[in-house]
Amino acid sequence: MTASADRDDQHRVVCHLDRLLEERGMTLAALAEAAGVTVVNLSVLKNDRARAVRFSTLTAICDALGCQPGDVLSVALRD
Amino acid sequence: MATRERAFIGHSGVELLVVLVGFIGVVGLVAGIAYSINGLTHARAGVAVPVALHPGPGSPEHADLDAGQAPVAVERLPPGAQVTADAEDLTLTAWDSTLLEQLLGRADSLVLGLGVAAGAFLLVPLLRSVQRGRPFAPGNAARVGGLAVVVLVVGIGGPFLARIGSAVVLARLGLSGPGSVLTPAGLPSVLTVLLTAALLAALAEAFRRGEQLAEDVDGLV
Repeated sequence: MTASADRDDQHRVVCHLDRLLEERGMTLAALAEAAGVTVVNLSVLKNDRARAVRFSTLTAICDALGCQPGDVLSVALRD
Repeated sequence: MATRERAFIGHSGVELLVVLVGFIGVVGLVAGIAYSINGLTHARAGVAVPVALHPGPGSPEHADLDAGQAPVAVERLPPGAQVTADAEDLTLTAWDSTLLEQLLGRADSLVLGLGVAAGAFLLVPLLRSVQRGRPFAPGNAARVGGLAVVVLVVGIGGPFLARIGSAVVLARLGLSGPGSVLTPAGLPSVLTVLLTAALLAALAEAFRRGEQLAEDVDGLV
């Protein structure tokens, strides 16, 4: 594994898609349909397995959920 | 410029290449080893090695070499030894060969056979990962780099061993040293070999960068 991959694995970015979907009564499939993003990619993002997010993906999610990037992602505090 | 949408080679095309490369690899391995073993059974019989003419008194005139597989008159050639010429090369055939001479005389074929097998061994997994849509899978850069080494070994190592075989035969026949009209054949032009190896080395570096980019993209949503 390269140094950049190691750095990617050490991030503390947390995704709040679960909460946002629950607040809006939406399913992941419905969001995928509305945002034009695959369910697989959304699932990766929701389960904090993503290592990078395209601005286009983030824009589509925010448009579909009516929120801002800061509502979708946050950085967890250090231990 | 936009990236070409259509694949240069389809799934079935790669499959065909995999089968072809695998077959050639097996044939190269078997033929290279079998030819060398066959040579070992010919010890004490004739051995053929590439030679060149040492310019000087006693050398046949250049016109003699245009005869096409015709024997060339060479001074001090012992009985049972013969020099023949084809379009570009001279071949010395001598009887009463040793095991070492037989092995070295066919070493270029052995190295070529092993090189073809090694090349196939490296190329098949590379083609398989291309077929799976992951050309920059981990290990492929090292495989391309390995191909560059194989090209160098086959292109330079094989002819070099044959040259050593030639020197051994000439020494046994008393045709080596100053005053001899024959010398071991020179190495073939290595320019093509070096250029091919350099191209493969550059390709290996491109694959290494590709592997890094593929790792970066892994996990991108």
